[in-house]
Amino acid sequence: MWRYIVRRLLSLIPVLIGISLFVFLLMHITPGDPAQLMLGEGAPAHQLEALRESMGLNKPWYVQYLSWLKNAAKLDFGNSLRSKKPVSMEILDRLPATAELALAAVTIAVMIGVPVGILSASRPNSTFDNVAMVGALTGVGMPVFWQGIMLILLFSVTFQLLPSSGRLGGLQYLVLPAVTLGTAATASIARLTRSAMLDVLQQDYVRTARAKGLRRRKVIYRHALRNALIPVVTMIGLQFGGLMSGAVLTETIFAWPGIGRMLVEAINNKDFPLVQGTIMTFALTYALVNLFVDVLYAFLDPRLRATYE
Amino acid sequence: MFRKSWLVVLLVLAVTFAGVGMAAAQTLTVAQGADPVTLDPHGQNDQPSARVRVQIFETLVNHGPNLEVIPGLAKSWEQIDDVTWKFELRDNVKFHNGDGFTAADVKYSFERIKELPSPAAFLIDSVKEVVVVAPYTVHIVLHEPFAPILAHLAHPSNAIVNRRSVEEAGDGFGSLVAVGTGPFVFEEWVSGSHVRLSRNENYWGEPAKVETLIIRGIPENTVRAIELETGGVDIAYNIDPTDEFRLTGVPGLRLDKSQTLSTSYIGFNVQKEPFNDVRVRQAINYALDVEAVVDYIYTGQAAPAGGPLAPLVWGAIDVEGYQFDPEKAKALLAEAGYPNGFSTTIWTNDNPLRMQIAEMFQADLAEIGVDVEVLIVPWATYLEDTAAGKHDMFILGWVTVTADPDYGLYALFHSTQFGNPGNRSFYSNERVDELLDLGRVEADPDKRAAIYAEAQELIVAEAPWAFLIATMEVNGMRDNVEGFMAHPAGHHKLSTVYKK
Repeated sequence: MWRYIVRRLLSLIPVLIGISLFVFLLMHITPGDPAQLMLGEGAPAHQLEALRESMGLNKPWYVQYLSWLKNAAKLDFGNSLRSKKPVSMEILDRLPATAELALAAVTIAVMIGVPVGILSASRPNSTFDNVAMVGALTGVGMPVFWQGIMLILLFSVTFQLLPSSGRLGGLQYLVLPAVTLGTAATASIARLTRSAMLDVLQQDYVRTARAKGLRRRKVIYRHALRNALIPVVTMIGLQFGGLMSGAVLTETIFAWPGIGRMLVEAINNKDFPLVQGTIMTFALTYALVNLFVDVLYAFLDPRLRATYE
Repeated sequence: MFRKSWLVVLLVLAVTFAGVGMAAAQTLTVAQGADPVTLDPHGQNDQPSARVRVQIFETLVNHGPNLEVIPGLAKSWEQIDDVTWKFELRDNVKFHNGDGFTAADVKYSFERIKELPSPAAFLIDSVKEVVVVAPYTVHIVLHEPFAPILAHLAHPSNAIVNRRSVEEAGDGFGSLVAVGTGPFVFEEWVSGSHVRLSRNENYWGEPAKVETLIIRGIPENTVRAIELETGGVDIAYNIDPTDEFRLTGVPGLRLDKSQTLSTSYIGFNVQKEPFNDVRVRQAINYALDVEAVVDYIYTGQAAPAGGPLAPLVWGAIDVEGYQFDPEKAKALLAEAGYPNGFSTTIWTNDNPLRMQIAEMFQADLAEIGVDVEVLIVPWATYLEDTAAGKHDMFILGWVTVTADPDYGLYALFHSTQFGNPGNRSFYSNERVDELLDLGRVEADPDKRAAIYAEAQELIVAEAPWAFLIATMEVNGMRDNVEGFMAHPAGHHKLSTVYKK
């Protein structure tokens, strides 16, 4: 198992280098000059030139990339072009808020999505099933922007129960953004759990278990659920990665001090080092979560353990 | 038993006194539309950062309530000769780290602005050197006479910093450390959330009214308005027209509408056909229903602008400008040889208000036979391509931050400023050039005003722009907030603000 993990971690290195090169090229191909963006309209030419020089933008792109890569190997990701703060500091300042939000959203999604999926599958086409699945479809389709504002109007303005924005300490600030971010994930997890469960419930061993005279409840929770959860765990892993990087809209609506909002601002301002560092962080998180999920399989499904040796 | 009741009495007293103490220690929470980028006054020159910095840092001179230049860290000044200005500094000012403020700090700060270079270094392009004459006296020596120098020194980007703190903080200056002389002391910056400042108890002037000042960034306009409505913040800057409409009359809060130094305009590429013909440019000015833009897009958060300068800018003249008159527009087009109009494009970036303006004008111009295609261009490309003259017409805004007409006209209309520096309409007129050069060196205010009046009249007549609007700013506050005075450049100082 350990060998497997180490091998997977090592294989991350070429992936990360590839991603960094891709991001770097993309940032350089798209039009727009960071110096121009910093100075805005009305920048004298001599000053634009001086700023480009001081930001190292006058060198050819491959020289810029190689020097970035060399420093990155030493875990020095440079400084943000705009704030001049070290990129690692910018990221560490923002990462906890996003991780907290994504974790809360995933927790909500699992706590609600999995039980709803199981209940729906155990009574297919019942009223509960129909209502739950229409609800799930709505959940997936609802625009985050609209949903966020509606929740704010309801819980902050009308009932005055929860703060409408910010992360100023206390769990009350987390509730609305986490629900907003978690809705779509809840819905897709519920739908996937339902279909995976339905699939498993038709397997022979389930019929055998029922034939043995085991109670329905026991069959579902002891025998079927473990197998049905394998695709769901994959989904949860993917969702978590997606929520980390995809929280931009939620973070913007709720003024949540996360990394997604920072990335969008950095892209708009062509703050190369900051974009590069943030995307590396996302890629790494995504890869690590996936690795974690793969390892988790081994515990869920003994058949898979052999493949990890 | 006796002991217990004493304990209760003590507890009650303690709670009461704690309550009194808390009432005195006021916290003011202010929300703006974005997070600051850096608190280093010589770093990125953006409004959200400036709004925090002006609480912490100070400049040699300031703009007073009517945009007149008033003393700041300098208590007096005089012009010794054409290029030398002498400043007498206050001798009772301390930086937040305890160091005394002296002439050496002034010299260090201006040298730092030029060396970095600060993105706002162009503001002191005219400064050749700063000479320390005595501990509290400096001479600022210019390359050549530059009349608006005082207005430029009042810009928040020319704030005075403390050498020791800058050097000790290294990369952390502006994020972990921000040491100035102002009425508020930097406490902490929680990235993406808020900046917390506390009252400077050793301030040389009138101390700040509140103990703690929290400045939050809330990007969503509606959510910022809701935070004000629900009491989450005491002041919310830049209330959007739609939210203004919704918040008007809501109990517990009030809206403060003030004039700014900003204008919005449509620039013509005057070197391209058909905009090289002044009659075409005038025709378009007549064809645009600017009142409708003010009413429907800005819902009153703007006023039609007759000329190139916002009315608050020093020396701005009251021009009637072009009134909406489609018939006159048609006649002018016919005279210019376009009786059936022509096809062209108007560029805008993805700013929602500008996109709406472009669409309304598309309809207006269709009335006189001009077929306009609206092109929405990403901001970076927009700046680059309009600087390169690839456009026909474009929509942009300009903030005359120094409140001086030189800043509001030179970069935009002088023929040496084509492209990036600001003259994106590639307008060139010898007399205008001459006037704008004269305005820079003329020391006598009356003569200077006359120079700029003539320049404005010429520019309006020649119409390198379609003059649109001067924008207003609406700031909302809870009705217990007192002492707020909006600064027309948007960086409001908050030391006078308190809660009743």
